[in-house]
Amino acid sequence: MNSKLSQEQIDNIKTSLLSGYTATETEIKKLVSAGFDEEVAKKIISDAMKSLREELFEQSLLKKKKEEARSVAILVITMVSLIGPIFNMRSIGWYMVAVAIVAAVAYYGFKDKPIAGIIGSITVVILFPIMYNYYFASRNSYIRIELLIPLVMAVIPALLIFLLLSKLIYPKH
Amino acid sequence: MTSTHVLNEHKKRLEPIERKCSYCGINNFDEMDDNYFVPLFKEKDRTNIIVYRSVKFSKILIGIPRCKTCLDIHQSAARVATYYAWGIGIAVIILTILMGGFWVFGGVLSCIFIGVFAPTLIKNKIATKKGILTELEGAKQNELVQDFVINGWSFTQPSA
Repeated sequence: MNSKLSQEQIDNIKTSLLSGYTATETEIKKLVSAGFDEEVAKKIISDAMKSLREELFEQSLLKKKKEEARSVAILVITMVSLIGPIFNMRSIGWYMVAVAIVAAVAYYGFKDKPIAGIIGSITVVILFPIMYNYYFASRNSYIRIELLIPLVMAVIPALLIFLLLSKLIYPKH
Repeated sequence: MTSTHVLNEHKKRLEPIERKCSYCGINNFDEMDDNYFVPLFKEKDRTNIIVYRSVKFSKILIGIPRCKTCLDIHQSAARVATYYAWGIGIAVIILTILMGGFWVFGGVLSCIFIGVFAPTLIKNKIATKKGILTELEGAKQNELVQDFVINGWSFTQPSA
């Protein structure tokens, strides 16, 4: 009487269970016809279900954590990019600090694509003051919401760089 | 209704059928209200137009079996953790007042930060020291909770 599964059987059971919990009865029958005792087959499927559920649960938690880290990182990168031009900071020291901050934040926020994240974020910090000065160069007044225009002008090239580097460095993602 | 929980429509929550405590794995729960009801959230609709952000979400409470002993440990840990955290926070403020100047501002910020974030850390540490799971860790072991999370529900409330 059989009591151990081959790797192929384990993989097949996982694939089948992913299609829905109604697949359990079918999988138990398959194991019984492959020579397993019915009680053993039920236990194997129940254990497979438990391990699969835990695996999917951990994946879901990890995905959520990544999404949250990414949102926080984007918020911090935007705030740090805005500080320099808004407070009229001309010191190169501030921009070096800003680059260091966004690089560290991007590393944690884009952990699955760190190089693309870091270079993309640094691009925003460097480009935003240039776009800001270009957009507001001949202006005497502006409304606050207009800040979004130079920001978008800085974010678009950064996003393109991020996507390009992502494709080049992390083709599997 | 699921095979492990029943819906209590009046209290709008899923109550456990299994009686064995998920936190110590030894005792059974006596009163339904002793159980830990973990809130799960799922985003339904999000509007994000630069100046206007809103989010609509569903919320459900799922009961995790918990005995009276574990309930007492969790409740006293929460109380003690709050006292400790705010105690440390106030001590930091007093210290910064003695240092004077800009430090006071940093002290107030640190106190708020400690008061908000430290209680959870201290509470979890106390529960672990007493040999039981934390409220969240116990909830994470529950199969129904795992199924909800796999289907897109989250432990954290969506923010706009």
